[in-house]
Amino acid sequence: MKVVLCVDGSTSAEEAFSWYFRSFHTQGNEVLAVYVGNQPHLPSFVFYEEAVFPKEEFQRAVQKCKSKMEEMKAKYLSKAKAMQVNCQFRVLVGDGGSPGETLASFLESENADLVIVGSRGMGKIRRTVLGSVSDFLVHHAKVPVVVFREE
Amino acid sequence: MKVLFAVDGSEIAEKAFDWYLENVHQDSNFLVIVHGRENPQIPTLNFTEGAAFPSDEITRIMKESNQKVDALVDKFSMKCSEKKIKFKVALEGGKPSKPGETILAVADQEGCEMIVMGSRGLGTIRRTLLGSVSDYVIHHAKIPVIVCPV
Repeated sequence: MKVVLCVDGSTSAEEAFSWYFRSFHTQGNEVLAVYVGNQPHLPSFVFYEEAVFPKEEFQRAVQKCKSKMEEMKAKYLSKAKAMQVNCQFRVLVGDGGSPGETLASFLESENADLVIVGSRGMGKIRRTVLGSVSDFLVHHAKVPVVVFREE
Repeated sequence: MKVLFAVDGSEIAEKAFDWYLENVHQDSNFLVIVHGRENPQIPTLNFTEGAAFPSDEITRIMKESNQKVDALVDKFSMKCSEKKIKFKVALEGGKPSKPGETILAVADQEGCEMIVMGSRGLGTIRRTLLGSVSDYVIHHAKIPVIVCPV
């Protein structure tokens, strides 16, 4: 079974990852830990002022995103090593859609059999009981979705 | 691991069950099978015309509803016995007409570590992609929930 594990920088994702390998994983499952990268964030005044395109600032923003991706990859690959399990790490770059949408199309293109997602991650709106990504996936995924709840 | 499996009479529940057995189940798992029963549809009573209270019909409806639940429980019990799965059936807990609450109450009582259910069942409002019961359960559960789509 091909299993996609959605991760972000949150501890909820780390717990889901550990829980999966401890309690759920069976030999023969192919596991992909997937991270949807942030788009580099440019302050909006750039488009209205007559200023020159802030190339340096943009490069800094891109670098920040890249470092984050590297950090996530290193973190999860070393977690996998520590747990002595096999796991691939993929970074997805959204095409403008929400992370949920990006993940949903990844699930289809990869023919995943199962997706595991935390109930809430790092989103700023923490009032809601279910985060936007998990909410999107349970409503739209064509494969079983495991909504992981941290204790 | 103790796993709670929520069932109704739908095909989706059956498919979810088969999928679970094939892909997730481990021999050491113990299944708690739950059916959150909803109150059966009782025909609207016409109070204004002073008609007699249709107690016979209501009794019949309740009996049919109970029979359906029993048949359902039997079906899944047989599946488990055939595959030599450790299981138990839980029908109590929660309010009868709120299946979502029943499911969570039983999960709590039984100390289940995970819930498995279909995304939609037999409910009347079929426009939505996610049924009301699975929606309720994912928003309120304290343990991981697997939602299996159509």
